[in-house]
Amino acid sequence: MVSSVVRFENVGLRYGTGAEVLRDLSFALDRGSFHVLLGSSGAGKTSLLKLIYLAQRPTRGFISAFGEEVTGLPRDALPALRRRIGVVFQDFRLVPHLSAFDNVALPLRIAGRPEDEVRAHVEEMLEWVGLTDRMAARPAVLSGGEQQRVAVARAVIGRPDLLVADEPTGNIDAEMADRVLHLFQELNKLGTTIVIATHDVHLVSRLPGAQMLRLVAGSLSDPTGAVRHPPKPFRPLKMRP
Amino acid sequence: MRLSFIRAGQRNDFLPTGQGAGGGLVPWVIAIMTFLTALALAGGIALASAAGGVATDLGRTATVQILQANPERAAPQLRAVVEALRHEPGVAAVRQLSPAEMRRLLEPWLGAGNVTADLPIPAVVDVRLRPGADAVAIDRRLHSVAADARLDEHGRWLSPLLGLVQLLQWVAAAVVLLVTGAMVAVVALGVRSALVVYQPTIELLHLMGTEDAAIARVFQHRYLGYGLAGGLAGVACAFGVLIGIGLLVGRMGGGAIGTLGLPWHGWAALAVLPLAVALLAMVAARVSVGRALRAQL
Repeated sequence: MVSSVVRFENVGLRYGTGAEVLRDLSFALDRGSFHVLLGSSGAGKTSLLKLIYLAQRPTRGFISAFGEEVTGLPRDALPALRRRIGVVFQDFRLVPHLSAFDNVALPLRIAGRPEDEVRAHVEEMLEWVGLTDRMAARPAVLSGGEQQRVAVARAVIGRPDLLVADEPTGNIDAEMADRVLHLFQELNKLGTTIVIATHDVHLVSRLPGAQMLRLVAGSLSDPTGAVRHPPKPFRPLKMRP
Repeated sequence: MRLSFIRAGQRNDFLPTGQGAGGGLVPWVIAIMTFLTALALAGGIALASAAGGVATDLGRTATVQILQANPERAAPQLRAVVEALRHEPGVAAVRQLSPAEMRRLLEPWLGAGNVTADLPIPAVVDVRLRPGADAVAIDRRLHSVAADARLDEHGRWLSPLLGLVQLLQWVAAAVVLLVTGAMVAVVALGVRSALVVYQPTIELLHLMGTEDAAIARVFQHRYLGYGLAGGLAGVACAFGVLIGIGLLVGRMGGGAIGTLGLPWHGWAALAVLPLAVALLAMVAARVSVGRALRAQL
């Protein structure tokens, strides 16, 4: 039986007394599924992602994550759920005075992993994203693309149950974008549920088998029926030699 | 849950070292406040000790004088007084001062060689009272056996001085409390300032699943260090000042001022003050961070 990692029921969100930025969202992200969240700028993609990675509570409706109803969950119960989620933020959110190595190591250290294990995993991950020679560099001296790769490495290093990525390939070249997407696919094969938000419709074509979620003015449209009737698992990308 | 990166050293601490959020000033402010606290504390303890010593030494002593210039009329009264005092239950010890002792006592006031044999000197008896002795009743009984006898209880003129000392002790305690309160406020302001400056990092750590206690631990360790550094500096300065005052008082010689030294428990209190300041700073930081974090999701 496929269980839901995240489930939304009639969820709405407004900031302060403004109009609702998200309306009547009902969907489920199944374990091991791969989703691409599409929508134009201002459609509410980032707000929806915030709800998914538990940075925001909805103003109405119910959200469950990993089987826990989180809408009314006490805040001291949130960290355990958050540690199961990896996030690639659109603005990277690297800790400015920590090196690339220490930024990537954060999730493992928060989880209390031994330092030798942290070192081995972080070095391997930074090698994967092509930043072996930039381990000691701080974010201020990294290019936008390098920062994004550090952000991706940090999000996936703890092998999360749910990976949420906001425009994860926006600042990197095509070859590195393919590497990152391949990394996500490999993670997905290991059982991680993945949600990628993008306004780049071409990205969908590079992820065959991914389910598409389209946000239009805060509401979820499902013209293809992909959300209600998800396709079979996709064929992974072939790496360039 | 623990954060190994906090223990791994400053390199991995999410708060940068030696900069930002007023953190650099906090140890200095703590040092100044500890210095003031140490002086107030030392002053209070020294006063209490001096007052206690003086009260113990003088409060239970009294002098009986025979106010009769004629030695022939004074002598029988003196004998009667000494005899009566020896039978008084409230008297612990009686000692008649010899003429030689009297001359030694008077010489500093009248000048050497001016205390001559024809100078009328009252006969004086040194009396040590037992605790709870009724000096007025003793005086009354002495009058009945010697009309010119007068008992002078030392504690009577000491009580206004002791009252003043007690008031000064309360003032010292109030200063310690006020400075302690100000120190807590400084720590709270420093923590709030740091929370504002590092809000993006703290929010990120929250989103990655860091618990409030782990974030608070970073702040409490940092402020424990600030408190220890500031406390040690402040107490070291206070030690210097107190030792200097002690040397000056020593040069001035004995008398009441000579009893104003700091007792051993005063030095001990000052020695543990940096630790107390560090713990106070740590707890204040922990409470401030905890309150601020609880307001976030």
